[in-house]
Amino acid sequence: MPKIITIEPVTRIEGHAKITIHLDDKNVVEDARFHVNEFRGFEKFCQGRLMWEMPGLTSRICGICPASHLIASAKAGDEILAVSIPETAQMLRRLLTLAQWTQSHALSFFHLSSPDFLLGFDSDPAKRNIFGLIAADKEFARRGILLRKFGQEIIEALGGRRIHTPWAVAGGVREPFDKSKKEYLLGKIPEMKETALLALATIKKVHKQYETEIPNFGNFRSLFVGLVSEDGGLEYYDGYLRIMDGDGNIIAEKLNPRKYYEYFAEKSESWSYLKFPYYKGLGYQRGMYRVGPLARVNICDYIETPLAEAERKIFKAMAGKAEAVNNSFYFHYARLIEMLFAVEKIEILLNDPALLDVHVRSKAVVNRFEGVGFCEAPRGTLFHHYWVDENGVLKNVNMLIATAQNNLAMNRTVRQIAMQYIDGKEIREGIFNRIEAGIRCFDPCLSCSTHALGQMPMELQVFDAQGRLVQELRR
Amino acid sequence: MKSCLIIGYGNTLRRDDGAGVRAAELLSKQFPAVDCYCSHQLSLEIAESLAEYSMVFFLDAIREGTEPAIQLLQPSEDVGSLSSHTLSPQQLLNTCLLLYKRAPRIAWQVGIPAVDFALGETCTEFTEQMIKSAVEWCGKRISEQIHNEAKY
Repeated sequence: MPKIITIEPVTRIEGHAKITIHLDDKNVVEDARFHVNEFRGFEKFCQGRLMWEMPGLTSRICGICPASHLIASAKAGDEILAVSIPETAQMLRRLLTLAQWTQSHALSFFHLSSPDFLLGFDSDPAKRNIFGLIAADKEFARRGILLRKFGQEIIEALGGRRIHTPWAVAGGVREPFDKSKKEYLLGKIPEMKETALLALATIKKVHKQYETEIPNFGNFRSLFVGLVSEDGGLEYYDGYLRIMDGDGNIIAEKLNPRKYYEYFAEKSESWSYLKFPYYKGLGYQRGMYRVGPLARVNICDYIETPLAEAERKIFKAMAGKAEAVNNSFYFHYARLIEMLFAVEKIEILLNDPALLDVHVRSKAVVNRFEGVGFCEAPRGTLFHHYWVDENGVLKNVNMLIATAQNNLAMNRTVRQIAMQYIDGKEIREGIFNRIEAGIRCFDPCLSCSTHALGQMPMELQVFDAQGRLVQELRR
Repeated sequence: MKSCLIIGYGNTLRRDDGAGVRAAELLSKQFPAVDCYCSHQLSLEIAESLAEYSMVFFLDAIREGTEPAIQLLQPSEDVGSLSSHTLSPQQLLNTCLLLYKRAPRIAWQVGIPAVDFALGETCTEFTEQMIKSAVEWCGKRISEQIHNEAKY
């Protein structure tokens, strides 16, 4: 009887990974691992480059969340120049971040996860994707595609292109906002709000439909980490770090994100290129924490926009005795609340006359030799840390990526789902899909989080207790 | 309905892989009134815009051939089951028809032969010639379309 079950590649995520499940002598799941096979290397090959190049370079890390790297990198540059950027520049960067949230969250829900929910975890894998969704529910799919497009159009309106726009820079942004685009974008807001609300209504039906399965979808206590505003509101661009435990207790707050290294450390394991960050205060494993939508909606005291705030209250009411929602499945719900917030806030920013001011960049030379930039990427808190010489040449680079910070929790989720569904007997494709779906809750971006030089061949391998290959499958 | 849309896609940092984008940019300069869209890859988000046009040109690099490979596509409602990372012009056209109940009447897929996909921002001399041929061919079709529309 096979002892190690491998799922490779994990489908409908950004990047490449495999999952191995380890059985004991009684064919009971003993352990499960989420292996990331990519290695990127940005931290190394950016050494020797100029600080001003970094926003453009690091936005190339990813095609899904390049704007987040652009913002974090530009903010690191702000620190090195020791400038305070114009208010309009900050508003524009915020608008870019919200557009990024909108398009990324729409992709995650409509393209990657909703096929499972609406077509079924056990449905035909060949159709369990966005194309199957288009065939099954055209209107739902169309709305999701248009919501993603809306986010991309804002990014294009700001920076001239939808992906890898080199627009945020140290000191501010390159160009002011083209006011001719404003009315077009505002005209789309009502439909986008409707779509976000439709998505929320859908996920609530999904909660009912899968209520027996959801309790085992990564349901465990962990810490939650993210940015909050000065008064504890949901934050996405600036603010302070807050850490909450699974019981909803705030164990640390008003932490300076620029000193992230004082709070978090990283451990390597031999079987994955993705590192394992943890909260130093509790050590490795106990210091496991989650970032991203579930964390952000858990830790904030309020959301400043009315529809999203109403949803946040419903979300928090699910927590029961605990004040934190611990089940990873509810990442989806939190993500959709954030998507609604993003659309509401985009409308507010577009209507603000200050958005059109032409003063959008502060200029200076290198005034500090170290800078940390941070923001909330769609998947969680992102840090860029640069060390430079007097000419702005990079001597060292460190990036702490959102998906990496969820690594311990992703592994725990995979183990829990595997333990629930694998009993050593027949292993159905639907079970593999549920394990993958556990990963998809986190919406990981593996291209971002490992910095790669090439990929391993993708296949499924099953080994017996003696390590002999007994089964091999390819997806 | 709008007239023509030119879509050029590919990776402009991989030498000849950017041939489609390069050709689209040249056509856009030649016909400034014609809409042009350039991107790394085709994506489902383009379908909405596509539905507004009567004619579309998909321009991309291909690995074989000694002259541009030109194919007339016919939309159908079969979107297949490929990944959204490898969306073909045919799939995009079909998605457009399925979601919006209309698609361009005339859809040309123009494959531009390419030989070098290494890192770099310029195309090889061979592919530059292929781009020129593709642009010339597309230019004639666009001119005809503009002329026909002016008549009616």
